[in-house]
Amino acid sequence: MHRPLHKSRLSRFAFPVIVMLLLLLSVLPARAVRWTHWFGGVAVGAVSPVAHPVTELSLWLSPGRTGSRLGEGDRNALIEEAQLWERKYLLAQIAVDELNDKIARLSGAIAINPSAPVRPVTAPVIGVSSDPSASTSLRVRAGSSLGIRVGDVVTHGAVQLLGRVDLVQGAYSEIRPITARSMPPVEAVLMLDARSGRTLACLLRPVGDGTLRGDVEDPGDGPSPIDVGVAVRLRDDNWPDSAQMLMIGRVVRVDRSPDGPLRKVVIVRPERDLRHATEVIIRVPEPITSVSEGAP
Amino acid sequence: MNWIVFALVAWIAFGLEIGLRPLISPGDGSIAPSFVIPILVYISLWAPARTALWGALILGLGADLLSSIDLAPSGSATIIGPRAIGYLLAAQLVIASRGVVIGRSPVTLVVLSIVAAFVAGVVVVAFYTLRSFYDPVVWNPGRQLSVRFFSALYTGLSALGMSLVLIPLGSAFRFPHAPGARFARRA
Repeated sequence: MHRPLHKSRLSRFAFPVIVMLLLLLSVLPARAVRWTHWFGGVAVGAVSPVAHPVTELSLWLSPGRTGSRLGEGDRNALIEEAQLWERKYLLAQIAVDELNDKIARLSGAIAINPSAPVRPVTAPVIGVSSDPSASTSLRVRAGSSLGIRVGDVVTHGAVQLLGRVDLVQGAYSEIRPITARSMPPVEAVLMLDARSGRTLACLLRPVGDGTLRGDVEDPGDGPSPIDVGVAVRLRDDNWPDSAQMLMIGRVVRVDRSPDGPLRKVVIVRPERDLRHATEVIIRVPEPITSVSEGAP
Repeated sequence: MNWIVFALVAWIAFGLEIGLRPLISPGDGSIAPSFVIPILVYISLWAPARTALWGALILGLGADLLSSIDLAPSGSATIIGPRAIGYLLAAQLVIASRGVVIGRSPVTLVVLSIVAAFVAGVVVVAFYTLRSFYDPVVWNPGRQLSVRFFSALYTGLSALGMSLVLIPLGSAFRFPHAPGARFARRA
């Protein structure tokens, strides 16, 4: 059966036209092709009926998984609760110090901006980018329909910092882990002594193998307090208040720095394997209601 | 070619490619096998040339939509085109070589999958490297090439496994010359 002539011409020209279009889209700047995110969301949604169950199975079978195991659920819950209270205590200490500073410096009535409350949104991990060498983001089933916005802080559990929301679609979001090579450096503090509150500031850069590397100056007074196992927490003004003092990880190695005898290089690894997270908690900021509303 | 069977197999392959990654990717997860490339090679071996090229475009487009690239300092971009063009060139390579290979052999599928994955990877690296000159993409061409080289080798393993499924599915695809069983009598 002969195809109509106009259909033959159409099919003959459609292929090269589409190829030229794809070549053009390949080289257009990213800001000119933001609309492709929507199509990406549709593709993710279309594939998720297969990808999500397979991801769940893979994470369950994976040796690095951090889900609850038989007999360890209660222990993990207690450890997490203890870490939660420890963080609350540290935040309260910071708030007290800041308030004391303000009281000492200011004489007028100046509004104190408290930390914004957050609403935790639990989201299951549905997969990773199809090309993890270009993007190490995690995909989660929670999007703008739940109030999530770009920049929201994400944790793995109650206190383990995982990263920030990088991209939001209607029903899913992409999260860039703090250990991603593409993540900018973060300012952190080494908790040298939890009782006295003695800390040491450092700037951590992701290495790309699930760890972060930072250069610190040894206090020099007595034996070095920088040791394997020291907790490292976030203390970075570029992150929201709700993210401060979240756990980044623990020091797993201490090396000498080539920059000086008193400087050391610390390698920090998150306590939980961020790549094998099965679900995450997105801390969605709630709007702050003014104290003066309704006042006479 | 039966486009419904093609779509179903591609859908499952993309799901496996994303879902199995946490289990089968060593180290930081950059190196991983592709479950879509073996399908690309398979249809390029057996489907008419124009049909195979359309199939390659569709698979590449799907791969583009399911991938993203990190931007500095934050955000990501979904770029349509690099993988579609890469898969197209890989398909053309397979089409050009199908006269000199044994289509029914799993070894053919394995070897051509490795080559096709590497060719597609080189094209993707080329496009993104060009983009890195004018877009704030987080990109290291040298590292990306080595990652994709090892991923291409790893794809040989996935192709070996998928050959056990794809070759018997020849009749379902309704190719003009279905591969059928490995040692089936030729028509």
